[in-house]
Amino acid sequence: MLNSLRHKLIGDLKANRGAFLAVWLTFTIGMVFYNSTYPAGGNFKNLLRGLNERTHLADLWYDIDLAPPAAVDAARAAAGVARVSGRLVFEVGLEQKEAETESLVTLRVISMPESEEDVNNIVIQEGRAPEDAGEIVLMRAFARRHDIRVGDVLRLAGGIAGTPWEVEVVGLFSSAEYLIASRGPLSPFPTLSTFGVAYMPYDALAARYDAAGQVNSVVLTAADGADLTAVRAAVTEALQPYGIQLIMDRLQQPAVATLAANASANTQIALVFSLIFLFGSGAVMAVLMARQVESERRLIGTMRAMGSTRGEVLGYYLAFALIVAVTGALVGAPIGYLITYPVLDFFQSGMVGTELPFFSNPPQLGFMLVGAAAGLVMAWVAAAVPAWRAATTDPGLALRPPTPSGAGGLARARMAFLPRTGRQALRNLLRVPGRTLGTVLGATAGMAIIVISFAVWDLLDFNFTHYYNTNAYDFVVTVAEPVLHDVLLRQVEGVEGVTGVETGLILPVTVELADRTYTALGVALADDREFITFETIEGAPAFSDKQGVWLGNNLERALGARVGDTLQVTVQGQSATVTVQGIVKQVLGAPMYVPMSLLQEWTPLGVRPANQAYVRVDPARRVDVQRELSGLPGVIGVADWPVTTQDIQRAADFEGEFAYIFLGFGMFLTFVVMFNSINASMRERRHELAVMRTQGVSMGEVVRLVTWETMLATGAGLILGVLPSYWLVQYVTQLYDTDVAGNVFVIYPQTWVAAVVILVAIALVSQMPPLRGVRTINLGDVSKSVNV
Amino acid sequence: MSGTPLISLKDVIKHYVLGSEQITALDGVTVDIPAGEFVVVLGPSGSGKTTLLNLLGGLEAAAAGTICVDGEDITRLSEAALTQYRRHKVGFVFQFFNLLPTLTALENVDMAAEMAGAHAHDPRDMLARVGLGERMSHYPGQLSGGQQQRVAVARALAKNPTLVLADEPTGSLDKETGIEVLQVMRDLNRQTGQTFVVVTHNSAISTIADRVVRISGGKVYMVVENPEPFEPSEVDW
Repeated sequence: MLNSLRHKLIGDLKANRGAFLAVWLTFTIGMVFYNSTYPAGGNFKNLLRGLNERTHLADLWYDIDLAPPAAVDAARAAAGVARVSGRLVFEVGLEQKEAETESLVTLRVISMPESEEDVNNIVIQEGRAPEDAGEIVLMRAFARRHDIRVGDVLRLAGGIAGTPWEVEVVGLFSSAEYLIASRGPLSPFPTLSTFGVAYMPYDALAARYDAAGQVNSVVLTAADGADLTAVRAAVTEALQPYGIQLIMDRLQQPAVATLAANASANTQIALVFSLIFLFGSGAVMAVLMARQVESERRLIGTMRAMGSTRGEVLGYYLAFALIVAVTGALVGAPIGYLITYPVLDFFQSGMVGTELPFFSNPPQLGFMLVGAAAGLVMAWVAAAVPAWRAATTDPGLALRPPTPSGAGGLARARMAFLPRTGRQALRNLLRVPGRTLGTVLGATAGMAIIVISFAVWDLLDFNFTHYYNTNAYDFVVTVAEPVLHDVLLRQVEGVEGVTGVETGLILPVTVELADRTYTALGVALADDREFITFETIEGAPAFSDKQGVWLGNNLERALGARVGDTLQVTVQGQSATVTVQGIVKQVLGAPMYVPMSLLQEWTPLGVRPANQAYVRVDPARRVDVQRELSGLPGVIGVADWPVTTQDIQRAADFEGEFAYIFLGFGMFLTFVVMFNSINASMRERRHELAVMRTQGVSMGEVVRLVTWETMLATGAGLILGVLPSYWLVQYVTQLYDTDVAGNVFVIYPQTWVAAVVILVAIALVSQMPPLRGVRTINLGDVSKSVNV
Repeated sequence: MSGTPLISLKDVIKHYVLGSEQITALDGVTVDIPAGEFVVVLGPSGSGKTTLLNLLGGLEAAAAGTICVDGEDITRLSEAALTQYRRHKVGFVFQFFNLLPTLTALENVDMAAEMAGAHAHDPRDMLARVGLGERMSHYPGQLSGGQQQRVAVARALAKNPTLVLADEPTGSLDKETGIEVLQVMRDLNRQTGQTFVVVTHNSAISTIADRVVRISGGKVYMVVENPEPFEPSEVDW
């Protein structure tokens, strides 16, 4: 570069330090955001992956009847199996220290792995492993929620004897299998208030349940490279004689699937926003560089007229972009990396509820370099395109006033029906499309960012509110084995304080559609039930037709089923062919709902079985009723539905908070994009507006003109942003989908209204400082120079 | 002096502060300009000509003194009133034309006429009178310097102002084009009776004026009436 140009560059940077700082800050903030959110998400997933590997997380889970060790041997012999562990899993009640204020808690007690090589091992984070019969280790997040510490003694209720027994908490653990407290396929979100996991020595647990030498859970990993479908088929066949109750892979195991999906979705969203920020800052750079070049058009013409080559002109603007990109990347990347620590902490506390047992947060150098390179390329392209265009313009033409490029068609229309300011605003917008585009794209990007952020809340609110509202009862009572409906009904109704009871039957079912087989939960409910009032995706009540089954939207997606499809359903060895009558909204779980009248057609003598009771109670007797229900014969669980919903909502709220963080950053980016593009546009037009002022145009008219232009460009951006926003929300919606959780797509009308209001406000605020600048123009300068 | 003065400046002072230095651009200027005359303010560069014009046009504020235009002291006007003054009473012709680049020739003139309201001239007619009837739909970038200046003249006159102020209207033009522009202005002055104040450093142009105000060092040192002005076509420089 010529020395004189180098001096000009330094002089320009000094003279336009405000504009330079705006470009630099936008770019640097883009780099900070890019280098913080997605790498933190990636490292969080790596931490999960590392924990999975170190604890040998199972690929397949089999719940079976109590069986001898031969069951484990049979599974081990199946082709493609790498590791197999057999274990005992039971659920007991945990008596609370302050039972008057807390609900009954279910503790899933699992036999302690014998060695670190066992499948689904655990990591002791505090204390030690249990050694004696009276010792357990407790899930760390659960212990924290209930303020239980190492050394505390707990009273458990359950087991063959049915009498409470005491255990000492000797340690707290984390495990890949239960990083979050998901109880089962129908309640995949963590419900720490009512559900936790503990491990105790095998012999002690077996003794409690008279199950010495037996197992009821077989977990296994597949060999590297093995086809999981084939392995599943082989193991299923091998375990068939042992009474398979439920089969799950990692996509179906609720805790693993939910956490993996959340981590993946949040990381994907972080990537989307990182890229939006990166490209947003690139777009700002492009707009500002284009406007700067345009405003220096006469200068470029002069330089060229004096003999500067095109390369020298181009080099000048590339150097400007290089300074922005390199310093932005050098500052943004390290700051971004430092921010990964609090972001990782946020992920851990929000998604897991406690610290992971292992921590590692290496800088993602490759990602950083890609971002820096992309930033540099964007900055160069942003600078090079307008600079080359200006440099290749004939110097004589460059010294003339610029002729509008968008000067045909509509731009030429007289538009006499519009007021003068509106007409002129429209002409300006249409005749200088490059300048208009900056504001339009800013509004479009802003629309997308704001709508996505709000829509995540819409999704959670719509789906979870619907979920809570469709289940209108106080407790769910679960009995170990199905009994006759009348028997369960009488038992529960006999408890003082119970004001209403309905029953249902939940059993694992195998569903086949074409070549797809899926283990789901079949839920049979009374045709005329009132406590569970789910509805179809279209909003109609379910069970309008009793001649078929109704699938939850997650099962529909997992199976690829449609209304009218014929399914082969197998339950406890018996098969039936059924038609899909409808798809119902069901954010959690992948159930197949069966009208009780249809189920009775399949049962011997048309009996009506039940293993769950949905109970409404007198609020004044809530605690007493819960205790009495827990003591009924055969009852293995009494879930407090309002407490459960609070836990679910707590987990859902994390996603909402995550969305709000993006909303905050998104609004900032939108403001920066719009502020810079409007500011650049106003700077470029400073002289033009000053000339108008000399002609007698009042400041109010200038404000109206600029506001017309801003609003028209913003309006165009908003209209253009509708479809991309809609598509991006659809994309984000499916990021959260798993086999056990999935949202019905929705965007509330108020989200669109909010996006429009916010963007209009941002646009109006953005034009205020430059308009103040117009007010301070010395009109006398108009007659003294070509620029003011 | 022929007729009632349209413009009356009395003891007008104007300073500029440039860095730590205060420069006096006008130093007690007192001058009267009658209505309907074609007046040339003549002086070398830096003499205060443009400052005088800016003060007359309400583009800048005087530090002291009074400036009466059409019976109104514009130094006492508010910002809003000054805007109305510029809108209805003054038409500007700048050395560098200062047309709005995104508007065609017709639209530039139309904007001024529309602002002036009912008493404005027809923009098409004004463009035709400056010889641009065939170039109305051209953008400024598509016109020559002389054509742009003629559009600027049409824009200034379309408002039908009381006073037309022209700052070095031929400064960016070659001689032939400059004479054309001056001829247009002189003709319109005679046809409409509007007062023209033209600022220039070119003494040859002063020969076409009804009155010449000579200025130097921020002071008016001579006002000369010219009973038999030349036609622009007779001027040579």
